[in-house]
Amino acid sequence: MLALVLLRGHADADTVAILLTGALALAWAVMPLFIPSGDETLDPSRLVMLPLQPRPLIRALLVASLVGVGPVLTSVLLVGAVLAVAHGAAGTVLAVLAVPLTAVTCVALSRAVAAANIRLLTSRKGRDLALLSGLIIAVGMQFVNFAAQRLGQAGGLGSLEPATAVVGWLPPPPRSARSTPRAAATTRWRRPGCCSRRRPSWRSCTGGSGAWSG
Amino acid sequence: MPDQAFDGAFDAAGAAPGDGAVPAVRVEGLWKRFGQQIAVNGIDLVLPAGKFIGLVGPNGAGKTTTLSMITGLLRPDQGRILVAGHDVWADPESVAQVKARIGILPEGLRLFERLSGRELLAYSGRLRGLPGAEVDKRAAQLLDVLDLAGSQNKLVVDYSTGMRKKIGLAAALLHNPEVLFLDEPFEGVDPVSAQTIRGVLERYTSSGATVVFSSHVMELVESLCDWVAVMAAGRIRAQGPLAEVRGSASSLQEAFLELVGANGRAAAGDSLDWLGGGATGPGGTGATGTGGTQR
Repeated sequence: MLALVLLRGHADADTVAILLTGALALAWAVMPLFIPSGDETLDPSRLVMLPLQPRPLIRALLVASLVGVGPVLTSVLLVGAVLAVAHGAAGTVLAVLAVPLTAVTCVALSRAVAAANIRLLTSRKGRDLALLSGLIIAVGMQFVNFAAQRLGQAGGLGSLEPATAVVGWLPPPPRSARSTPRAAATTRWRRPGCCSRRRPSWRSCTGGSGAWSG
Repeated sequence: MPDQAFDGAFDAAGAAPGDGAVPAVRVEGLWKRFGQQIAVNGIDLVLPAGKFIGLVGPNGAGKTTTLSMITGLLRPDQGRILVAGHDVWADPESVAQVKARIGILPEGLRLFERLSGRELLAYSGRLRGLPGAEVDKRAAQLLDVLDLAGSQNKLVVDYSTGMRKKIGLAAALLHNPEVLFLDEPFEGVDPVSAQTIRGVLERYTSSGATVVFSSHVMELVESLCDWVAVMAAGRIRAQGPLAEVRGSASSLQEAFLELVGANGRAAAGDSLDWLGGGATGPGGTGATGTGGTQR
């Protein structure tokens, strides 16, 4: 989170924030497939003997899943992401709304994926498949690592701009929650003839020293 | 499928003759298949209230499937189930409503393992909507009667099988249900725990509630139950009071084997002629094996 805060105002801050949020959502979505046992305190199969109506049960389980190490870490990362990106009053308001909304979306996505795949996850074959996929992912992470290093060398995250443009429009967090604060700040504060898209900071638009304009 | 013990002589309310009360469980045309296999093949059951009822049958007869469907844990493909007069599968809310009136101890009992025994009972009781003080009082008494007071602060994950069944039974009795369903409650349980469980169940039925349990141990059913339903290969072979199902056979075991048609099977000795202590076999030790291997 500190790293994200330090990126505030940097040219590529929005890129990092959007892609990070996208990656977080993806991680939440696929987590139940690779860690089938999950959190046993949230396992509804232990509650089947109790007279619980389905709708209140779903609501209660969603709220309960927000209490835990995973959601807390996610929230911290999201706070960092919005701090890196949000500027101005409107931006801040939207950012404050965005963090819990995104966190809830991530958790709900995770539970939805688990529920949809329940047949796969409760059978022996399914679990073996999940384990195998986990191994493949671990190997894949090495490639991601390698790619990240290459990006670091090739001069900034500018090469990821096209990816950002796409990921930004995906449902859970990115453009709807992340870019909106930034867009709000930009439209609110931009003056005619002012800076390019890469410099949405109010400082440069009001003629400041533009220390971050690089 | 004609009932051997009853000739279908039920009155309008579906209760057994001579009993005007609403039956504890009424099953009509229940049907369930898993892929190609038909687990429950159109059964009709009427289990009277206030009795100790045994559902017996060999492994794979469909007892667990039937009990799961009756208690709202498994959705049937076809059929109607009435527990204490309420239709279990009428609509999504009715399943929860029926569960509030019954107690279940299923075979694959899944509990919250990281709670202690006492915490588990406190949690279950509160989730059922009982007031906290009442839950704690009942839990203390149940733990005492079931001989779990010494391990009430131990995590459930550390319990033995007998203790798990006992804590499951305590959780099932906490809300004073009308009908209690137990799936093979004495399976894998040590004799001391089994005796404790028996004591609690007998006390429970003598107060007027109904207990339905499934088992394949005939001697146990014979010693405990007043009413028996015999099931094999997804069908009900007989149901009725214990004496009627036993009929003229010397024991329930005999009657059961007759009903299921297992008595006529050729003795396995005909084909297992290499088995035994004969001197001629490659593994023979010279012991004089006779009799059972040759017919």
